[in-house]
Amino acid sequence: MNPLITIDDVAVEYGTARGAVRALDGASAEIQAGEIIGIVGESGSGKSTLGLAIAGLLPGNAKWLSGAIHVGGHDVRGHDEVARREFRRRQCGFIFQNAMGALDPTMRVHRQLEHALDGEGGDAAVAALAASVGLPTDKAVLRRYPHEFSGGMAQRAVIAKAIAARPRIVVADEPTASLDAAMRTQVLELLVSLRDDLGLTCVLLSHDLGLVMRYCDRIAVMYSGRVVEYGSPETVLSRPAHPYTNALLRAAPGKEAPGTRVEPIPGMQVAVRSRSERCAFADRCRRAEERCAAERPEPREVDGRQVLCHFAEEEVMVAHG
Amino acid sequence: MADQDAPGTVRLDAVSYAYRSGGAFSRRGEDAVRDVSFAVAKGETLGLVGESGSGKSTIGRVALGVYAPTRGRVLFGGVPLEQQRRALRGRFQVVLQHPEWSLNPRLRIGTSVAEPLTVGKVGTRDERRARVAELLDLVGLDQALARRYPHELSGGQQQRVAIARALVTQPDFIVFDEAVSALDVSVQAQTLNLILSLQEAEGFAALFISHDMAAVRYVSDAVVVMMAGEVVEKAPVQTFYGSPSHPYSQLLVDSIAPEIGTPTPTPAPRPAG
Repeated sequence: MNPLITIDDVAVEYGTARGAVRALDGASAEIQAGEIIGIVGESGSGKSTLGLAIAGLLPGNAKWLSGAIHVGGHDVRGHDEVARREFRRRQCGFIFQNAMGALDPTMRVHRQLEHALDGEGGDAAVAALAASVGLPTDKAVLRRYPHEFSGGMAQRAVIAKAIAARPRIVVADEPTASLDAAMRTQVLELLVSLRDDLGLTCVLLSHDLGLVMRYCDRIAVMYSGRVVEYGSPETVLSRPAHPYTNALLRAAPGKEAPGTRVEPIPGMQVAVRSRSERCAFADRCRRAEERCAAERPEPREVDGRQVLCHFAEEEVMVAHG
Repeated sequence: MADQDAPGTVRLDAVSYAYRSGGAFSRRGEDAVRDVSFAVAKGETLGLVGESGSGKSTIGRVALGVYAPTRGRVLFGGVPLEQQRRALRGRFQVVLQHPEWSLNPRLRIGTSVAEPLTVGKVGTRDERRARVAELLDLVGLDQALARRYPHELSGGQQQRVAIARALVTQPDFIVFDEAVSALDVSVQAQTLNLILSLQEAEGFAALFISHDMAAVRYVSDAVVVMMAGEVVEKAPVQTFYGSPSHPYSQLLVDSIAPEIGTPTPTPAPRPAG
């Protein structure tokens, strides 16, 4: 099966006052239609840039250095502005992290949904759209302003806006970051049901490993602008082949015994300024050897997943033992 | 249970708080929290969990004395807060979800951290400066950062500064209101460990408000679950995560992914109780 989204060695840098920062440094992954793919990574790992790049929403100071992203065979950077706009309008929805910020505070939610539907279908279409994301269909409720909505309802309204044009892809940037446990489950189950009902392909950017594990078909772990490990959640999270994935799992509080401490990852993620000719994680890695500082790891297939580490085989063995 | 009015213990006694709305002639009040009672002893952390809108943050503010309870009392060492306002200045502190809420963007880090002392006219300038250096050290930051502005620091560093600022007066009670929710996994681990070791060293009582069940489990000695403004469960942390009794607590505990933190594919069955 041909993948719906092909991300091929993409490098993007942002021009800033203090020089260029390379947000993506050769990220690669293939995403099949109808999958929910979770992209995890810490701030500065490039996951938001990758999400924006897929959606064709990179800001003006972003410079595309190399590589390409194809969606359904079309380059998202196609030179035709009309086609690009059509792609963003019709094919790809984007769900922003801050739901309240993504809604116009001066406009009633009902009107905002109407706009998202291009004013077609009137109240009935708005009600149907609201129902599809689990919002009340009562017009009196929908005619409220965003600030009168709860966080969970606002997030549903944002999802409704994103899927109004029946896109093939939805990119969701931390859609549940500001929601509580119960709401979070509901919003993710909504994304799963939209995938099942509409055949939506969903790119979920998150730093919540537990969440990704539960709801995603595939998981991509990002570090310093590259996808360092990519595979099914069972493979990647229960038998990590990249030391960074392993370190992340150990840093996340889970079910450790009382009195035991979680292990923070030593050091900090450093912003990359030019193409990294070494393993970007080497300075923080327990396993690092000379080779890691000298040679840029390229994607390899190890134990059923794609991984960027010279010592992936050894890492998998440790996780097993 | 230990003496609930021991020195250093913060106790909420049947506290209710109503937010008021409407004009002078159409005044309405709606109870945001009803009949909440619990105590946090010196050196102890109480986790406070519940859905958005369940009144967690309201409780935090009432416990800090920012809001006066509509009914009920908040006691510190057995004495109601309103009877010891002046004495409590700087004794209660808070760390908020977003460090930018507690750091003035126009003040250098050092000035921000020293502010609670400056306001309380504690010590001389040099003493305060020394105390700031000590605190930055304590939270694991380079002392040179005192000259920087908040925007020059990463989110994790900013949150450490906010914690340093909260600790500068050596408070008896700290409310962490979603203090680690906005942080990355590894920074969150550092911050949680920092809270644990600081508490060991300084012995403050803490109220840890969060919707992250794994983090609450990690730092708390006991857990209080709130739903729609009321406490539905109160239990020591092992009991709570082992066998939560309220259905809502069950749902919360289930929200922790089973496999995280245990690399083995099948986790061993937990002993009952």
